[in-house]
Amino acid sequence: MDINRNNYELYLIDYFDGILDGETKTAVEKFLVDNPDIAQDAQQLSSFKLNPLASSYKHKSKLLKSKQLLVGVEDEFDYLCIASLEKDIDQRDKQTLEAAIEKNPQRAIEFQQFQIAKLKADLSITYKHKGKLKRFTTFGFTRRILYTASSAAAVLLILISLFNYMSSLSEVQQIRELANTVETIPIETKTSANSKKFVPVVETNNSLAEPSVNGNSRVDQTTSKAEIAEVIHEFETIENLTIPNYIKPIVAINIVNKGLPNVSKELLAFQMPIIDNYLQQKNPDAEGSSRTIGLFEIAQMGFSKLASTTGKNLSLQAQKDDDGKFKRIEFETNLFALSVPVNRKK
Amino acid sequence: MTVEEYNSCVNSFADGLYRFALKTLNDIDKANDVVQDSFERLWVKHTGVEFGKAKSYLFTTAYHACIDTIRVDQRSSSIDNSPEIAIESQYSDLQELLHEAIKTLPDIQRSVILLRDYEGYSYKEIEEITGLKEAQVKVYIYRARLALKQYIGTLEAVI
Repeated sequence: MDINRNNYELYLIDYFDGILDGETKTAVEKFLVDNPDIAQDAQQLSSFKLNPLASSYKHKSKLLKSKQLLVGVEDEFDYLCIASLEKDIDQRDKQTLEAAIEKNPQRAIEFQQFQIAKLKADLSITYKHKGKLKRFTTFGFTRRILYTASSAAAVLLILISLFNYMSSLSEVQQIRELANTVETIPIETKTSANSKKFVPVVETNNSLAEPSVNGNSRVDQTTSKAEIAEVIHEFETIENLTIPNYIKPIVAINIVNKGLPNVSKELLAFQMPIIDNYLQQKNPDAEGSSRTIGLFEIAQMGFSKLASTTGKNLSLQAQKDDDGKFKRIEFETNLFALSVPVNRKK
Repeated sequence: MTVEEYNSCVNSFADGLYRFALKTLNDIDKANDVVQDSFERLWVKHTGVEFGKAKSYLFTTAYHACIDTIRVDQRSSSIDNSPEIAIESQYSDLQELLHEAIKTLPDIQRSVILLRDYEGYSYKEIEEITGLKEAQVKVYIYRARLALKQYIGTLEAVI
């Protein structure tokens, strides 16, 4: 222990407080013997030690808490009355209460007021809609499970319909290619036995349509592209594609009947708010809602609305190739997810 | 808890829950909402809630729903519509008078005294339902009883 004139103050304070261990205390005492001037100052310092006063606080009684004040009570009688009402009273307090009631008639009235102030449930008040709260089961399944299963079935049905529709797009592509290759077609006329009217039967020289001969006469006619365009002008268009009637009329009619070309006009005529909202979300800068909406977008709208209504995760998305054609359809929920490629026939 | 047990809870506790909510909120529609919400929450959790704990679960849910509703109402209301003692009113019996009196109590005191007197819950059970400490429950019950007694005393003095 190296105690010198530079650090002795650290040890001297503890020395006078008497908290030094034996070895340090011995070292301090040796230092004081070796340095009498410091020992003299230290002797004077020890004489200035403060002693605590012997005075005491005279108002302790105001700070003391009686038993009833533990629960915020200022009147002991009130506390005893309520303790009795709550059946939370010991024998000693009970005797105190009874003595107070016996001595003072006013206390007896107050005690009675506490007794009658206990609430009783009004049994005439009943809940009238219990039937709505109850849950019923059908074949062991609750309504909620049946509802969920029905919803899932409906979603799957919509998806299957959507995928079937997407698959049919390949037929449109096929027709588009044929329209660009056929230039000359033979046309036969059929004359019935009872009528002189000519009923044209359309057929093609393409291998996809077998020529049929059901008439008495045959007329070969060469038709230019411009003329074909005039003939088919009355038919509907799909995405700027003119569907010729000379290839396979039934195929063309079937496509038109799917309603694809007229979707936007029919829907916009209803001015459905859900569509306006959807268009606004898709393109906030757009004015109005005069835009073509495909079946896929309608399905997206439906799922979006269903998701916002139920609070569940429902998402229908599509991946498109560089030409803007559907490449893959993805459907996602909290329970499952599907990703189906759109196969286009070459 | 099975579906049958849940339906049994509806039969057994819906009335008491409705009375508690109605007396706490003093609003029939809001009380109906609280009951429906409480049972809906119980149904969502019914597989994890024991039948024996269902009543406590319902009243806990209802209590917190009531407190939330009261706080929302207090925030949305700019008018001081604190209830006043209607000493001019005529009451056919004491319980009717007391039901008027509990409207004058602070919200938590009202809830606690209703749980105590209507449903007969112990201090410990009220502690679990409300999340208050047992000592706080005792204080609230004490203050509520004192206020009800004073209300009766006031009316008797007037009458």
